[in-house]
Amino acid sequence: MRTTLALVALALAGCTTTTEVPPPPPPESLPVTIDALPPMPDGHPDLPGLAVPSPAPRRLSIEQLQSSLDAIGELPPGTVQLPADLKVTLGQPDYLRVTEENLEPTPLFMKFLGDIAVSACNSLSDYDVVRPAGERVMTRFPTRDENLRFMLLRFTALEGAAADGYLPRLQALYDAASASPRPRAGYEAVCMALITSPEFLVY
Amino acid sequence: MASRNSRRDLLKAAAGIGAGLMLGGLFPSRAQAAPQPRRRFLFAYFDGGWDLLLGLDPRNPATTNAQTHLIETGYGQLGARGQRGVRSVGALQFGPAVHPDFLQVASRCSVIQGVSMDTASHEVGRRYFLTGRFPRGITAVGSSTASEVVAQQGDLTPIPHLSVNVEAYATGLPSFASALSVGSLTDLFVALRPFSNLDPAIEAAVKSYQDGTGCAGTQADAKGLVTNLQRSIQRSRSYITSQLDRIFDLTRMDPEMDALRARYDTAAAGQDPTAPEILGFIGAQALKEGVSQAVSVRVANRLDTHGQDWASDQAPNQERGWKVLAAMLKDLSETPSKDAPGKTVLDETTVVAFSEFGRTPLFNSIRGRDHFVGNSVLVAGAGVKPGLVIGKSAEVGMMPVETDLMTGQGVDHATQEQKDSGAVQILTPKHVLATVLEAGGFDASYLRTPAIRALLA
Repeated sequence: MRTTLALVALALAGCTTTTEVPPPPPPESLPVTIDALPPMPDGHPDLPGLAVPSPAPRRLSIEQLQSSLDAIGELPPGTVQLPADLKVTLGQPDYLRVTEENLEPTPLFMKFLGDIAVSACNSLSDYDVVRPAGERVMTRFPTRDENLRFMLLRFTALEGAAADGYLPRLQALYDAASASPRPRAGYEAVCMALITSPEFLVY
Repeated sequence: MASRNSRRDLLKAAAGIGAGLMLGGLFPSRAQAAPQPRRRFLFAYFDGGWDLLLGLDPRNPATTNAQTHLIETGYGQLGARGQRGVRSVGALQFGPAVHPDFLQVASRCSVIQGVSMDTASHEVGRRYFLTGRFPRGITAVGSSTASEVVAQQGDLTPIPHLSVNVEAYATGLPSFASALSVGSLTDLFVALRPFSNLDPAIEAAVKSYQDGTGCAGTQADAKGLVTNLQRSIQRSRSYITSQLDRIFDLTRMDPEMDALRARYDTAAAGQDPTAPEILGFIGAQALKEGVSQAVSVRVANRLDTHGQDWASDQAPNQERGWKVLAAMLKDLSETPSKDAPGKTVLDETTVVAFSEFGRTPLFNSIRGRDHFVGNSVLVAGAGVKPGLVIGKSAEVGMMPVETDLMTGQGVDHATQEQKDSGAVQILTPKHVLATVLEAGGFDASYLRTPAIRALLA
């Protein structure tokens, strides 16, 4: 405890004594113009251009999933921890038998993910009401649509015009789920739907 | 660019074409492939590398010695088990680790000896046998054979490929061909049972949302990943609505489950949901009840005995696997087919029992056995002739020797002409898988390897 206090004091001292230096201006980027590709070595096939195909879409790994749920819930890193045997079942390598993570969105993975979504969203919903309004994930704003847009942003990074198309679907989801007697059922349902959505799981 | 083709290249090309023409009769034709829709597959995996001398390629200890044959049977170190020695069922011979129960069903089986794995790595050997393609490094190439057959057959069952504690791969195949991979009975129940009593209004609303796709999701579907994801969600829902969990519920108190508990000796599993007895039960139930078209199941483990654990563990652990496999084969052979009157489920199921490699025929300095590139495989059931021994390992050192694919005979000293004709080859997992695929009318051309004609029923 004493050590921790000392460290905190040191950190505070460090924060207060640091001289503020303005960040350097960003370097000016020069326009790059490619008039012609260099000749290929003898025997090498010609390249049609410099376009590099982007990597194929991938599913979140288990580590990414845990970290994402931490970030979405604004929780300290490492808060969300799936049980070790569950992680192996979901395809994470144990480096004994499995050395490479299976990133297929298999039925088993999606079933488990659905279960995780129910558990995580119910917990998040319960936690939301006891948090300061500015830290909430589901009910940060006074209106439904603001909250739906905010949740979509947190889960999928979609905002502005890209989010417009999702709003009617999320509104319908919210309204349908709100028939449940559970408090905040609409937001919980939105949370579950977003966790299991390709917009969250695929990048 | 100047052509660098030489006369030698032309001759090589001509020789290749000639060999191709001669091999024409050995290779399956893609156009002729017509997968049998009722054909089922069981891939039984012995995890860790089995000792062939104790199982599928035994030697008589009285006539085999380390000095002359570079083979030590070691049966004398196995106590009462070792005294069983080599037992015969027709032409087949089994080592002392094969459980007596298995001998009762052995007449339905054939053994392929002298299979070269070309590796002494667990991952590589396992993945080579699962996919029929040699891994790149340790990374699997292609798809599990079980997924390949399912892809060719179509989406005919609730869980087309069930993989129980065995790795599974499905690359570039339809989503239904991806395995439901579970590590234990507990995992299977989690997959088949609802997590909690979710409020119906919330459940229906979420389901409705999941069945649609937004713009960003559509954009990410260039390779079909999002489509696969959504199908997986729908399939996972269907598991629950079908109430498949009842089929695997070992706690059920009724005469049927009583008999199954006794048959699989589930009491031996104790509380371990990954025990071979439990996993074998899952695999057989999935095939018998029409839950799956192909099942991969780990029936034995802890076979990687490099030290003194060879004497204490190899035989009991291998024996446990043979006992489980015997129970599975007996179960399948006593269950009438739902589709073909007079037939049993085993008549419709091709069984392949394999391990990633064998173990060295000589002991190492601490009386254990290390990894060995030679291997043997057991096949049974639909499409393969029973009671045959295909190929063989060398009398000295047990390395695989060539096999005549038409007769199935091992050839100690193959001539160059025989080798060039392609009719005599060193067997590999590719040959085994090409054979079981072709036996069911499946396209095996992707393996680019001929089937063992002598084994085809």
